[in-house]
Amino acid sequence: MNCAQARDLLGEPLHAASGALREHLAACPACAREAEALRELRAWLRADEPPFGEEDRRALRRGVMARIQAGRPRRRIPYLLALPLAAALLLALSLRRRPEEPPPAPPAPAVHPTEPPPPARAQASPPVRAPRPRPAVPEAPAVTTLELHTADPTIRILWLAQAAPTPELP
Amino acid sequence: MVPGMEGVLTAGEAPAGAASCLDAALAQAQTGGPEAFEAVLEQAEGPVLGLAWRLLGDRDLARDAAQEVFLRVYRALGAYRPGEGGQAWMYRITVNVCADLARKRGPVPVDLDEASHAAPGRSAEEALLHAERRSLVRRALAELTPAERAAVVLRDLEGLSAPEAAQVLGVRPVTVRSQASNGRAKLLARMRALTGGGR
Repeated sequence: MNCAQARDLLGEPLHAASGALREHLAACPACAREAEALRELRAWLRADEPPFGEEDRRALRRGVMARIQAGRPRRRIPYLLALPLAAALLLALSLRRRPEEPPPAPPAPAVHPTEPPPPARAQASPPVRAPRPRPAVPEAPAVTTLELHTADPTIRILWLAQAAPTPELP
Repeated sequence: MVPGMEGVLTAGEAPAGAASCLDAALAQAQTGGPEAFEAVLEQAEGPVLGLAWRLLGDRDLARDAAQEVFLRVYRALGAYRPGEGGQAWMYRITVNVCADLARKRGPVPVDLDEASHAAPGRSAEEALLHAERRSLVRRALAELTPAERAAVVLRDLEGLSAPEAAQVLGVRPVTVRSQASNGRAKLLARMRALTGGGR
């Protein structure tokens, strides 16, 4: 073993300290001085032990675990349970809202009076004219539904109109 | 045996049993959840605190660094592969966290108040000499470059071999040897100048 190899090994932990190194140090005063300096340096460095005691370690443990628990997601509801729960919630909400909803619109094709007209306004209002002749249009209803046919037979336009304020249609 | 060699040959030896306990705790924590992570803390809190303190030279900052290290370890548990060396993995995270904090903080402060704390069981004169020695160590370490300080701390205080320290620092073993050698030479010169040694 030469001096360069010996000095490389000097810095290594115990497993690197071979019999060859010991023999070299016994025979080489320069490397032996180097080894002594390294021992002295390590002893000097170790004099300054980290200033942490059990209380510091406990505080660290508490702090880390608290931050881990704080960042931990809440216990999750399994998907298999979440879907029926969501469906039940939606159903409950829809049942609760149903009495407040207006009655569904009549599927009526033509005109439906919804309330009797006030007498004075009924006399003042002009008759509603449909764009084309239509059967069974009652005179002066409070609200009327006009059904307009377009060129496309699948499209119909329904127009709800109030009797009194409705302007004259062209 | 050459006189004085005992200290050189045994100074840096890391306890292998502690490392294997840490590996086992990390493997357990991967599947065991937060509660199992407490075993990792118990195994590694002392070494992580010590390394952070030696790299940063500041007690409060070292505490912050250690907490951040364990949180990063917890978040990265899925990336840990058992058998890779849990200690080296945690040291690498510690070195990275400390480098981030050191960049934000600036030059290493010398915590002389902490160094002057008397150790229990010593006479007043011994305590004074010990405190003086501690403050000298801190001043000398603070004068090294961050790379030299990390190499010296990992090799001469934490007991890592050159390849292990190189893995932690993300450099080649030859670089670690060079940085440790430069750091040791500066520390010895500083130590002798401060203590009046003439060698």
